[in-house]
Amino acid sequence: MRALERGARASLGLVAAGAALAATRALVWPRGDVDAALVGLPRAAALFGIGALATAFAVGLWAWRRSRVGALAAATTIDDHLGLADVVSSAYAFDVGGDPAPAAALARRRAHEVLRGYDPRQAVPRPRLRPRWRRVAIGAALAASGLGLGTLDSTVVAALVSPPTAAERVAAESLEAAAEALEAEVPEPTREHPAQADRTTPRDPSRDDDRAVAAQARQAAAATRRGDRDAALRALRQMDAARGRSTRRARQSTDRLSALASALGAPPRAGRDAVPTASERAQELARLLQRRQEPQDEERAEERERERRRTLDRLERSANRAQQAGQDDLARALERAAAAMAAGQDDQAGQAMEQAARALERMEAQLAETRMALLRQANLAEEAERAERALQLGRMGRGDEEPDAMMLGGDEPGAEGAPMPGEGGRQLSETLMNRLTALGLARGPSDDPRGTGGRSRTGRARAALPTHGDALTRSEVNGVGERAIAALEGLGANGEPTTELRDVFPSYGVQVEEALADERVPAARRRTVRRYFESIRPDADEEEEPR
Amino acid sequence: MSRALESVSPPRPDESGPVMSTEAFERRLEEGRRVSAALLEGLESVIYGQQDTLTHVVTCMLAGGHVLLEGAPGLGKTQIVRTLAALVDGSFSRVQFTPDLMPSDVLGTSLVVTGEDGQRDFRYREGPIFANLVLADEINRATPKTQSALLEAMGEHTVSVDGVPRPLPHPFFVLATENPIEMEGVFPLPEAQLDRFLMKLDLGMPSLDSLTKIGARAHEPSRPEPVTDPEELARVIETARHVAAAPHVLRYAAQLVLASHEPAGVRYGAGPRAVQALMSCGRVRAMMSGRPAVGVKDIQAVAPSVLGHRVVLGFEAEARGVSARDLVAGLLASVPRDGAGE
Repeated sequence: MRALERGARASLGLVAAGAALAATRALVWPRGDVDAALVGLPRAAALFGIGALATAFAVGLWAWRRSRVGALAAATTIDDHLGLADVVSSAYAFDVGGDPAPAAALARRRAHEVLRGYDPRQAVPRPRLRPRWRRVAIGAALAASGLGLGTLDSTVVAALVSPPTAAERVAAESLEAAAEALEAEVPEPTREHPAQADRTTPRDPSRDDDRAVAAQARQAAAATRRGDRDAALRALRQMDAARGRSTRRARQSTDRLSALASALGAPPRAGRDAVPTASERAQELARLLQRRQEPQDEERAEERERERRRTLDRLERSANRAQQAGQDDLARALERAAAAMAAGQDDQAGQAMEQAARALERMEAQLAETRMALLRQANLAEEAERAERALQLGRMGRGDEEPDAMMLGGDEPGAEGAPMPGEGGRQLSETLMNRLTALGLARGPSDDPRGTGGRSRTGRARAALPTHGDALTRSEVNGVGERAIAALEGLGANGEPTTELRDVFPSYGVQVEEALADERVPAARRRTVRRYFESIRPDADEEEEPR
Repeated sequence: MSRALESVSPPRPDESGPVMSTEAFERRLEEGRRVSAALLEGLESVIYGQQDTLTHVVTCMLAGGHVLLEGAPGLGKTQIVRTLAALVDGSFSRVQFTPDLMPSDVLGTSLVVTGEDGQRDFRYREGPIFANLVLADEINRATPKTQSALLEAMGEHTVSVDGVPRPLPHPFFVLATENPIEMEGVFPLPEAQLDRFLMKLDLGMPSLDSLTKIGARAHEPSRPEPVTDPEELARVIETARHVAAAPHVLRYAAQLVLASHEPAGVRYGAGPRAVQALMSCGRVRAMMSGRPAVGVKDIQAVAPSVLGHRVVLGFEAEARGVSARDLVAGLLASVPRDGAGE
């Protein structure tokens, strides 16, 4: 009965403990990024139950230990209840001790007289188990408060106060669809050689990147749909990081192949395809080596010897480059070719060069795959930027605006008054210059024949860049970051480049993707940058639909 | 709880003890309750507004101890002893302690006396201490030598003069007073001598009603009729010593005394004699209520007066304005009794 009474008294404490634990749900049991918004309520309820049960167990244990009352304590309780000065307890003590003194005997006799007809349950009144409505109300209020606080955390509150806008939902759907398309486009691994049928095909990093990017995009779409803008933006940033890895990998491959092609060193050809690939150069070199067996006249023997030494030098340099690039097979093939050529075994050198050419073809195929992955991710990246703009607008409470309105210029290609491909790039450039001029960061269109120097963030005028010959460009981040000076080669004496844009543009793609993956480029401006590069693509005017 | 109830069974006939039967003790207990009640009633008819002090004085007297009263002049200290002497129909003497008071002035001295046959001889002449009730007024004004003579007699109940021990009358009760004002040139009692007093009582100002009643009294109160005699009083004192004490009550008193050493600011706590004092006063309180066994509440009732002058506070406690009585009150609130809280 005492336990019931204590339990009834402690019930409010149990509710309070459960409510306190439930209120801390956001800390104790946070929602994952993929959870629905209403998952907080069942988790808070579970924590409420755990808190109440744990407290009940602790209180019960404490009450059980406290309920083990000794006989002397029971006698003291009766004394207190009857208002006696240790009559019963002293008599009990005398009885236990067997004190024969007359005073002790008299004390026991009087205690017996006092306890005659006494019901000891009177000392412990019955507990009042009838619910007290005030306590019930307080308990209900506590439980409701705890569950309410546990259900709602900042994310859910934000989702309730500012639910996903229509633009965010549309962007999420588009992002989801783009992610599905990307996953569908990821090619299955192929076995290059029948002899490798029993071996595990090495994993293609570009396919892993595609899957990682698609997974992050799916997470971002799900978070956008449930109104968790922070999680969505976080997923988008992670997606950008994954894309950045792909881009860096592609750039490294391109650099390696360019270095190898340069080392193999065949003369460039004129025309649109003037830049031969490394494998083409290797194949050409192999054919050259094999042609050396053809009979030649004596006048050209000396020239052939010089050619042989140059070729040998290229092979050695190419082997070193391949070694540095970690292409051991290729390096060995090139070394074999160089050794055979040095020994005058041109046939074997040609065969080794053919092997090297095949290795280079594989490298180029891998590079092409990586570039394809970048292209596959490009659409997804565009949708991600749209989603990010929608999220930023939603966060600013401007959900009714079109996400594209946030772009610099704010015009979509094809829209009324929007610039056409090619024209848009110039217009964007002018708009950008005007804004920079308005901000005091540039002088605007200048008549100075030396070009525009602009103004640094600290207000100091910079020297104008020369408009002809080699130029030095400066880069500086926020006026305090690392400074870099790079030479732009190729400007002719009259400011005319010696290399056509169409020849160097293919290498810009990697640069663009890498720049766009950089977090320092604002998300809302990436689309503009991409459109700018699309607009200056040499064959942009020839295509029907701009990308 | 039922186990406790079942264990309290009626005493068996052979448990009456060798000295006194239960019935005889019950009669003695009733006698003690009656005498103490009569003494209190007689005192309260003369002294107004000092009920607690009077109860403690009677408790102390029935416990066979002595009382140190501290209070301003005119609060009725002499009247208490005088009335008490009349009530018990015993001898009463008053000694005004002064710096030139000699021990012989208190204990008595041997004088050269010429007999009827012309022989000269030393004859002991009893001092004022040879009385049932002695009022040692302003005891702190006498020299330590004289104080020691009185305190030794209080402890031993015997006076030794010229090598001859002379027992003091029984019952023997000393009520010493201290004046808390005009403290220049006095000899405060050392702690070891304070311990000889069973209680130290602070005599405060009476309440407004009591003062009104005092003012309404036109004449000196008449000498009350005796309610007992020294012989009966001695018997009552003996009866109080037979009041039983359960182990848990004894342990509580011991815990109180031990706990008096623990609080911060205490230089010396109460000694073992304090446990005896607590128990003897508690027994008298139980007897005054007609109970054969002392209870924890009896101990708690006498603890402030019994322990207050036995606890020596340090400078820090005095600087904080903490009194010994405050400290004892804290002990009573903090020391748990056996059986409570199990």
